[in-house]
Amino acid sequence: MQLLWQVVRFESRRMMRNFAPVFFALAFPVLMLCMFGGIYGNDPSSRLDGRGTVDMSVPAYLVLVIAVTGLMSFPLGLAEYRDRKVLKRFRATPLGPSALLIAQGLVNIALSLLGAVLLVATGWLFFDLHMPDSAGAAVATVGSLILVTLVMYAIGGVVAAVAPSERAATAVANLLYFPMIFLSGATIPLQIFPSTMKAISDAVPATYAVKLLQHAWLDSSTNVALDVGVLAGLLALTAAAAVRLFRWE
Amino acid sequence: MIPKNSDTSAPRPAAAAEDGPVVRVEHLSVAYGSLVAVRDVSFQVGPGEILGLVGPNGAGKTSIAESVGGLRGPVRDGSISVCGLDPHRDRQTASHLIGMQLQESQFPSRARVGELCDLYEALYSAPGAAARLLDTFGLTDRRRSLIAELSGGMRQRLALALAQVGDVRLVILDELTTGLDPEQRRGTWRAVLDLAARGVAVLLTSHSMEEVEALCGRVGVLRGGELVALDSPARLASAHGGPATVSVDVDAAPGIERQFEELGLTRLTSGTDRRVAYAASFPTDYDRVLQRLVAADLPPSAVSHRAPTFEDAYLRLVGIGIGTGTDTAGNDLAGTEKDSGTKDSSEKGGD
Repeated sequence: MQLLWQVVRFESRRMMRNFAPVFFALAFPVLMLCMFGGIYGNDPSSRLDGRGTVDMSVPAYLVLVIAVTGLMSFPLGLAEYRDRKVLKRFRATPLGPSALLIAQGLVNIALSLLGAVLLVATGWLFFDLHMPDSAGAAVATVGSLILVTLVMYAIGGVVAAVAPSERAATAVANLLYFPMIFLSGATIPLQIFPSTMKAISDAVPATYAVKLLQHAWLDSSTNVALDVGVLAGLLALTAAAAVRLFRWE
Repeated sequence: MIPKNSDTSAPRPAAAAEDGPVVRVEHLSVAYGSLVAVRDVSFQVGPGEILGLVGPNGAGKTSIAESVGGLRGPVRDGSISVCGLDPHRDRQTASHLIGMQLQESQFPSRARVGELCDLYEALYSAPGAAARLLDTFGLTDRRRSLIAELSGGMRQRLALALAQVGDVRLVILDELTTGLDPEQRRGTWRAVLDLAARGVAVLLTSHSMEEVEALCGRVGVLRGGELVALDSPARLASAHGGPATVSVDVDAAPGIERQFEELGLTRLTSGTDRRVAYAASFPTDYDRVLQRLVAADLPPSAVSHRAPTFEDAYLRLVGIGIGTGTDTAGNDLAGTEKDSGTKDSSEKGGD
């Protein structure tokens, strides 16, 4: 355990120097919130089913914060380590490569957690964000966050497993990440999508994550069974695929 | 999955095998599916010895190096022991005794030298070990540098330093100096020699004959997964390097060639050039040729002699008979003599 802690420290220092995930997990969602919160405030809006922009945005942006580490920085880190034979290097030491994989996962999750805290704190301090109004809602929110995190990391795991190279992993991760954040309501509210776009968004897994989180936080209307079913099914599928397909070299 | 921090309570059976060889490879065969990469290879490496493995790409160098390091396995046939441990089965303990530099293996990006050192110290339970090593390799003032800021030579020296962190008895270096400029290469060589001088066994693979000649007490030559010779570079050169040659500037005295044929020397080159080479022993034949030249009033500089080098021996052993001018003869020689070279010397220590 002590050794794993050393590896986590090592990996977290490397992560702090990785501009893209740090910016997109910590700064970008807060900047978005400041921009849209500044423009629209948090007054109930008829366009958003009577919810405030900030109240709807924060749970949605949480998906953004999780997706950037789960879909991008986690698989890219693993692909880099495999491609450049770093995993092999550590396989020749008493450490073994699995500790690196675990450490990278932990560091990425920690980065997302920090991003989530920053985002919620910004909303609460400056934009009158309403927190979940009951203990049950809080638990549901945390539970949804955990489920969404697992799904994103499992998809990321598949990307790392099937990508033949670091380059390919970057391409695949980008192809997944951008549709995932723009077509799911994570950045642009689903409520203002035209009907064609809504139909497209139904095919994007992150849509169910956004809906589930908004429901847990705000008690907004959604088909909870469908959301949880899609996410849990996807989790089972991708986790199994990632474990089955992952190569150390 | 994650090794517990073993501190000093980790068993160190190495102490028991202090006097014997550090590495003992017996009848090792390695296969990838149906492809046999290594076939019946045996050798030993003693403490403080530097053993080199050379051979064309695909001859099995890396497979052997990685097997000895415990990265491949279980091996298909034969056995490997490092300080009395099976490096694959007893990984947990054996990995503390083995330092490895792998071919093409890079360092993690965005890491600082010092951070990597701290990590290795933690892995090998050797707090403070890196400071001395960085000093030895002239990297002390680079602790705060990112790996990406280091030159290729510095990076290789860092790899060499990290491979020694902890109480390692064996260091495996797979093509350590590939891509280094001559100056960096010399620096790296010195470091390897220092390592051996401290009693660490070194197993290295290389494509540079100059390198193995400079470093290795003994060299194993691999061809198609088989060890075709194992001896000191000098002995390999004389046993397998082909004949010494004497070459004569025949333009200076047309007709002199006939005299050499009378001496019973075999002509090697076709003679379109100014110089004609003969297979000849040194100094006996050389002296006789010189006498004939002097008798014909030619200057001694018209004749020169060339001893077979280790590279000649290598090329013949792996079946590429260039550089000697007698392709077919070279191959035959390698074929008939290879056995004697392999067996006799395998018991001798590195000298």
